Amino acid sequence: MKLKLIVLIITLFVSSCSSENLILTEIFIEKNIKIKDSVNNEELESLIIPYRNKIKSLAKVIGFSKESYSIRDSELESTLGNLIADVLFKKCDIEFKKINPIGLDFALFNFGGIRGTLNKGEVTQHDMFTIMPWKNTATIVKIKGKKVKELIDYINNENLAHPSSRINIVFDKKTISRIKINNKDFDIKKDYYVLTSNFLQEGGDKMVFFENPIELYSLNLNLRDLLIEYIKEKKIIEAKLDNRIMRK
Amino acid sequence: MKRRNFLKHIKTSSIYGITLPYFETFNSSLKDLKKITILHTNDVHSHIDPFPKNDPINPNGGGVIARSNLINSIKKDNPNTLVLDAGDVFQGTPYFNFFGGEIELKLMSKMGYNASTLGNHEFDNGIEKLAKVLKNANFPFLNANYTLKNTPLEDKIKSYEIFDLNGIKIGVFGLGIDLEGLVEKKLYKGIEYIDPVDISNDISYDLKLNKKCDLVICLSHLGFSYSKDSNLMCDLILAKKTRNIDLIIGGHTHTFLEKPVRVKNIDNKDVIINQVGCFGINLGKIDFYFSNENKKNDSESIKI
Repeated sequence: MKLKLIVLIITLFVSSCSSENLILTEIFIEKNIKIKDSVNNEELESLIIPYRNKIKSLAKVIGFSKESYSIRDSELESTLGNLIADVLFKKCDIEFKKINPIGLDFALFNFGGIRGTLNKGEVTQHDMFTIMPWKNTATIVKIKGKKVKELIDYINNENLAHPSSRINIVFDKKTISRIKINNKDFDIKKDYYVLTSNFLQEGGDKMVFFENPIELYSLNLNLRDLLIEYIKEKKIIEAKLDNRIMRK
Repeated sequence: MKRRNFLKHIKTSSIYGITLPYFETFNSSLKDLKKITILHTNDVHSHIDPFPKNDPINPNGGGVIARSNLINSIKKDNPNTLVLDAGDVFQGTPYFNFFGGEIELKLMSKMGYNASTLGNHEFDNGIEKLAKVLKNANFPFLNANYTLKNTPLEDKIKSYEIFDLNGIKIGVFGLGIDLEGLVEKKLYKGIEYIDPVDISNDISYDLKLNKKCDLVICLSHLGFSYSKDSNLMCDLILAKKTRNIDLIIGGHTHTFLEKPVRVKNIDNKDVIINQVGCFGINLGKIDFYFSNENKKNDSESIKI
């Protein structure tokens, strides 16, 4: 009985002071924890299953990748970036020539637009959604050589593997030592037809050189759909580094 | 003062047969009573299923089931746990392309998330659709530095929320990144970005001094830091230019910090910043211990 009373007093005391004078005494910091290998959780599974079933068709294998390709496997280029930019250039060049027989000069997309890796082995549409989740469509701009120079300066400053096709740049430390566009020397007085996405054309990722172009063409082709189409046609996917943009 | 009374009281009580060891046990359990655990994610980007087994970097990594089980086991250990997210819940897998964010928010609600903030990718389907899909979340999205007046988000986003866990008040507010260049203009029409420093100082002051919060947490989608432009607003700059923030949970830059970092704020007091990469691969965990002791233990423990 007495004991109970004292416990009560202590409890009252504690609760009376917990509402004030609280002091942060210690902080325990630990390494960020890896989330991995779960046991089943039926409540969550049952919530996911109807959604997963609706996108099941995306899990169908559409091709095979010879190796694992990433956007982060080199400095100013990447295997995955080269593959994507080359495929989009070829596919869109064919479409563009139907409108304008001159054709495309080169292509530039953004590093941040590639969100996943293409893993060795089976490739599904689901994988392609993970790599390129966007609604972005193929967009072509005609811009002055002066703007192309701005684009090259942008790559130089960004120092990221922005996916590109048919543009070869050699930087010697921070200076530009060689530029070739579609196998020809770059001419600042010329105009160029550049393939990009609608997002980047509108100044996304600060690619302001694509804004207010001389001519603008919207192909209304989803970039991911073009890649999926390519994988279905080609079946075996291969990508390489070729020093298309490099720094000495 | 109260502490001294307490000790006196205990000593006096000993005549009733309460012994000192009893008090010691009680004292240590008192400490346990005041433990607050903060769990957090950022930039999960619709990664609901774990990574495939052939993924070269994270085979079978992440996934909501594993995350939920981990959260539950930590909550079992300490029910006084807050689960937070620092934005970019959306965009990254077909789950978003096909269902617009519905399933992500339903799952986060089930997992017991208490708050998140607006990342730039929350706007990928536009403001109208974002405002609609938010009904699937039973927790708030917090943002204090976007002008949302006369947009569909006006009544749907609060700048802060106060949580009371076992008598400990935790103020949480949210900050978003400048959307220009990150989101197509038509998708965030009417929203303007406001520099977060003054806003953060005002809110943190209000939370700590007026609302008497014991802990102030900022959910930030500003990014950890930018090596190419060291003046660009980021969590490191925010921490240094503000006061009254105890913890910044960051996102956007997909920075895989090995563990939380400690920086000094404008008053030379510690601020903890953490960010756990992206895609639901890692979970951040920080334990805060509160006591009634008048003397602050300055040598904060670091458990690794």
